[in-house]
Amino acid sequence: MHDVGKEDSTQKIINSLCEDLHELKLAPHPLKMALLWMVLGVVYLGVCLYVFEIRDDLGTKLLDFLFVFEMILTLSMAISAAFCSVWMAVPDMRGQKWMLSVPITFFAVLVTWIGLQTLLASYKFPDIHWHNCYKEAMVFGVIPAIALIYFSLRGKTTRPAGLSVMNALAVGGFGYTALRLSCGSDNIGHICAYHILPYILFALFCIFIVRKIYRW
Amino acid sequence: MTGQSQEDIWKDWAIKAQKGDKKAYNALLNDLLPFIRGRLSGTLANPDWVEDVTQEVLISVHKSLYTYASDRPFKPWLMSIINFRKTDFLRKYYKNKKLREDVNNHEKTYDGNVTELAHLGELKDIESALGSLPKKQRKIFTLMKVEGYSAQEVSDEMGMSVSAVKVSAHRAANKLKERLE
Repeated sequence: MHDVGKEDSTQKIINSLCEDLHELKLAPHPLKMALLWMVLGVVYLGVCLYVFEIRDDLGTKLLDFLFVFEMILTLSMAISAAFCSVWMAVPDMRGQKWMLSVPITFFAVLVTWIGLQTLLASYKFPDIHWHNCYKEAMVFGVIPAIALIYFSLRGKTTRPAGLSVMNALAVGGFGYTALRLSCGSDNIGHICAYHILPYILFALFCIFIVRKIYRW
Repeated sequence: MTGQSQEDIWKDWAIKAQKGDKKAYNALLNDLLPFIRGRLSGTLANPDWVEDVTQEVLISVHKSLYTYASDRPFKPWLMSIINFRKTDFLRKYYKNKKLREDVNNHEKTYDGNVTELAHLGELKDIESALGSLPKKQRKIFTLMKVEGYSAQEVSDEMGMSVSAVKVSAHRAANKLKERLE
């Protein structure tokens, strides 16, 4: 049996909510948000790469199958994670929960790919010190991150933790791709310490901090 | 309305509510009430929790109604909110279990004082009960019920809607009443 007093208070809440109702501005379609983010991201990274200059050997590297594979992989992860982010801002994800498997799969392949490189290549993890790549990683990530968090906040997610992970994958993938296009080093130790580490820290920030702002 | 399923009716009311139709919104929320309670009563042990989470779900439906897309079925949208609020409630409950036990034990130790030193005991009980409220809810309750600010003034101060402030104050009063009974 329900407490009658509580049932009355529920009725009062309904009356109060009805009183408060006014015409609503509907949330934009997630596809529109995702495309907007991608256009914004591509233009922004284009400008950043113009300012920071692309790597000298990019012409040669674009003929390297493994490099092109890595770029396509990270960009696909970033785009699919951005799509998931804006879809997750709708409570039921508009019934498209299957989407989550796409960036997760790309991420798993990327981790395996980098893991294999670290195992196969003889590398030395460099001493961590301030490096230009950190500055570039921050610049490449900051605007896409702010835009994506803003777009995500325009909805109401029922998966705050998952959404923050998708934000991290989208921004990390985008930034990592840009760093590989601007930095001339292919040393896996350098890549781990100066290209991946900043985005791991950003992912931790998303998981522990950004997740909280998605609660409502 | 003949031939329409319950889901179609909800969908229809939700679309009207998005356009500001209060009558349709009232019908929608009242019609959702038994459905939400039914969904929760099977998974939550305590009937009080069912009512608490039901209220949370109704407020969440209100806050997120603008995200409902008219080309989508209504029930999956509602179910995701119900599951989210239920999980959130249980997470908070288990996180604060120790605190709840402490508060309950603390109340028991003042049982004698309440009868012997009525005013002092009551004051301590009220302070303790107020202290157990979430920070935001405590502030809203104190501003409205102790310091006498209007719901509009509190909503401006807190950056919330008037309705959300009223609901929060109402729920705080209920919680205090429960604790002090």
